[in-house]
Amino acid sequence: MKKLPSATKTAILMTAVLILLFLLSVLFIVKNVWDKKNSSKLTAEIYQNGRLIHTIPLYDIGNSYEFPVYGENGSYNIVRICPGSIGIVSSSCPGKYCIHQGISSHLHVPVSCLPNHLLIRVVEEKDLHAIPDIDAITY
Amino acid sequence: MNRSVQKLTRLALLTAVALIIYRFELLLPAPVPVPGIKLGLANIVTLIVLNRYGHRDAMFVLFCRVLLSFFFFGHAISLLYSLTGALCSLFIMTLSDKLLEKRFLYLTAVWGALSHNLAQIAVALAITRTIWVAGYLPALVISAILTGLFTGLCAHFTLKYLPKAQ
Repeated sequence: MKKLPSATKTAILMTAVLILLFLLSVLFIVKNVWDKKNSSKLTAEIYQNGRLIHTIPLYDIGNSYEFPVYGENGSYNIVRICPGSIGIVSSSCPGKYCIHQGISSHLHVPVSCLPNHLLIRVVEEKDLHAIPDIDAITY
Repeated sequence: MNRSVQKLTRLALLTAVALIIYRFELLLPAPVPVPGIKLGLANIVTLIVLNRYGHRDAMFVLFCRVLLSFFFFGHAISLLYSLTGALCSLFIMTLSDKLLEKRFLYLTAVWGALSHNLAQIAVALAITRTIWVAGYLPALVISAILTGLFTGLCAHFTLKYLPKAQ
């Protein structure tokens, strides 16, 4: 058999790796959708600069409500809590990508406002952070 | 015309083209609500310069484009993101182009897109100081592979028709 040039061999190897990465990512997304269907009590955790600042239950919510989260240098995000989901509806950031992420109930994909160092994740009860970093009593 | 002046003119023109492509891409709405997903069409120019002129000229063109686009259209945070993504992306693409002996440009493009997105996630990890931002990775990987393939093919076919220097 004619020997393949090394560039072609490299190309074949690279293609194999990329196909693998692609399939893994698709699997993750499918798993995410599957988890969402089977999850029950959802809770949202809001992190600012890596610190957990709010833990909000998304179950047993009557009406949706909104509240602001303030950051450094006058930055803010208005967070909206709906039954089973959470999102950012208004922000001081320039790009407004956080608002485009919409009101989400995804378990593994967070809602974030990177310029304001804000990250919101939706978790099931078993994955809740045990102790928030700042505790009212110890502070 | 003096060859170095001709080359400088070509590189300057390509920088301008990259800047225009970048500006127009900003007008496109984000299809998926994940930050960082975009077509990355300006990378077509980077690929062309890398493949035809080498990595030093590609770095020059890329730097100029990123800085100029920041001055014209950017916000403070985006320069950090853009430069990090651009530098990592160019480094990986240079490696890939060398390994593939300047062939299979679309594979180089995919690696460029992947490393760009990975670098941006790394910056996001540092900024938010949480690991949960990594939840965006699957969507970013899929997007990088698909858009990289597209931009790589565009660059590949453009190079076929781009006149070579005399």
